Amino acid sequence: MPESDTIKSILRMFGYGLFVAASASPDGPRAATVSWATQASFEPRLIAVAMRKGTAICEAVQASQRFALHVVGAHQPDFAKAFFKAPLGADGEMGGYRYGLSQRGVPILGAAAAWLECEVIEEANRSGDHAIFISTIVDSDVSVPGVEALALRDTPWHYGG
Amino acid sequence: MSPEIPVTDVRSDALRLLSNGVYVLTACLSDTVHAATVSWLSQVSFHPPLVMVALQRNSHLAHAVRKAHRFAINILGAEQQALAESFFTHITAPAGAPALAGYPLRDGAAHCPLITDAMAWLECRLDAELPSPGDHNVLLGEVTGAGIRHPGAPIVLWETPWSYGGLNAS
Repeated sequence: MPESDTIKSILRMFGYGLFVAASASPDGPRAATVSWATQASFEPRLIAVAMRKGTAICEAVQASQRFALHVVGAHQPDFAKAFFKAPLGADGEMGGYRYGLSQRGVPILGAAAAWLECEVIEEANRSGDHAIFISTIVDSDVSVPGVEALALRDTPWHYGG
Repeated sequence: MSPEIPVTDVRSDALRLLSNGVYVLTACLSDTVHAATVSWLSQVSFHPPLVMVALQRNSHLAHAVRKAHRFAINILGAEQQALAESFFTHITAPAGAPALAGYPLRDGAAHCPLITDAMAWLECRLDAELPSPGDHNVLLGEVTGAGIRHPGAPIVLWETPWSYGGLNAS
């Protein structure tokens, strides 16, 4: 078994973006910053997003089976930072940002550079500490055409290892 | 590609904003080593350390990983686009071959072929296949071995001329 520090260093070489996941919970909308997300199929178009088990956002997604994945633009590190602690939304505001609800009741944050509204079709990862949601995309928008996404590598933060 | 869906579909634009790296995935099944460039890969657990990779369904590489139960992720440096490009199509060689597409190989502890020019590598044991209905097999691997040869900046897909995401590969 290699030094766990070596594994940690290598896992942090993986390329990730920064996203704000949002979902409706019985207590109100929840949102949290996530980075473990990747596309998982072209046809149908699927994405896989991992969320730490037991967190408010993970439980909201498990209960509602729906969430929005907001892309944080390269110019928006503060947008990502506002959701590190998974604030509870109320009165159309969450973490200092305005949100609206989609037709399906999913909170959409207008500040995001782009967003995907997703419906969970499979939850997996019994052996790991994060749930993996394999999801279809039911709606989306790019608010700023040609926008670049913030790369985790280009921030002071990390999530991996 | 379905002609009904315009390639300017906004979902493609948003999907291409997902940040992906560029990696060469390798596996050895009986007497053949397999390798191909992949991009849909993410860590998905700290404890145990698990990674998830999506491979084209029914591809030779997916078949090799599912049968061998082991695979390696070779992490490429920012300057190694040519290496990545060499493995855009699936490459095979006899087990024990000294090189693959001209790049030297060595055998890892878990019998995965490692591309020695890569900046770092992870060896993984296949943990599970996720029940994804898509056109890629979504495989989970537990990291069992790792090494860094030379630290540096890895390739990021959007800093290359290529994309792999949205509606279809290009």
